[in-house]
Amino acid sequence: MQSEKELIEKSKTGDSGSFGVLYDKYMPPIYRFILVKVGHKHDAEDLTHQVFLKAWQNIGTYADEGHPFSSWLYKIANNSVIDHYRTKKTDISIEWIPEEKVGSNENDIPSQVDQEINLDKIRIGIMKLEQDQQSVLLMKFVNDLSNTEISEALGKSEGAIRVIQHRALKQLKKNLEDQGIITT
Amino acid sequence: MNNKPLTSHIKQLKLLSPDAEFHARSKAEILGSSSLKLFSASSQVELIAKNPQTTWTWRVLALTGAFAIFTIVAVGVTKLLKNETDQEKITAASLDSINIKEEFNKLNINIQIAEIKYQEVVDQTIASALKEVSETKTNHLNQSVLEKEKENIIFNEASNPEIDKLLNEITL
Repeated sequence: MQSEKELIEKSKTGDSGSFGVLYDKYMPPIYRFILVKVGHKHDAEDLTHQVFLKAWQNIGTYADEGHPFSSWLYKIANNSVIDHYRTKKTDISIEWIPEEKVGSNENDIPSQVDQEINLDKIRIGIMKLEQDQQSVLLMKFVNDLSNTEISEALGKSEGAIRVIQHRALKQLKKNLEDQGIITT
Repeated sequence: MNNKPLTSHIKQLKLLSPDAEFHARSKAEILGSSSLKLFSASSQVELIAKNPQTTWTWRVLALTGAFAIFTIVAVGVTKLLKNETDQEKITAASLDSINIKEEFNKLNINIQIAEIKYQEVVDQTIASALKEVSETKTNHLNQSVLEKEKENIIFNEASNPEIDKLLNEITL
């Protein structure tokens, strides 16, 4: 099994198979990150496609030197979402969640619906946060990035990332309390 | 639900994942495209068609800028060539005018020379005539010629008496 570094180096030479492996690994978390932020499935698919197309076309410009590849991808994704916000209002709707992607028990429709509603409320709670706060919480708790990777992606120090995370959790808690998802 | 830690609520979003069909289609399209950073028209059209809101991304701006630079260079080269052509025309015209001037000057000289020569001839003629008159020689008045002319003159016809008088003086 090739290391990520080897896959990246091969991708730089134009090896589409190597980049395909990277695509399989990183596409789902990037898609998830974008979907929560833009709130629309088709928009999320389009933006995700653009992110990896840009990454493939610009793989030659990526230099390791202590900068994680995941951070590079999240930087592209974050910029794409910002561009998307400039031209299109984000729509907060329950239709952003694909029906087949929620719940493992297809026979239990009520719990599936409840889960969809909960996810939507969680998403609404996150969307009420500032952009950087959203990004930190999604990268850290949904996609399991380290503070180092998050700081590289957002162009901030790790200390700043910790402060943002603390404030984001505090505000999110308040938001979810307002929606009745959690109680004090 | 309510007793869960806050972060566990956030982690529920991990349930979200892309469609398998989208995954495969997107991967195939991306890997099928060139890895080089080429701004092909088809890829740009496709991207813009999918996302009209990206019209104002830097890629479109870069294309516009490249087109603007090309236009400026093309106009500059065209003007440069035009100026060179104009210069050639001006130079050719100047040369032509120089030649024309030379020819004109030559012509003037020739005319002047001809006039001078003519004047010399005239002067000589007048001078000889005056000389003859001053010497009261009427050698040019050939008697036989005058006699012949006299025969042609009809004195009995009605005519100006003064002319008759002059004629008589000449013939006598």
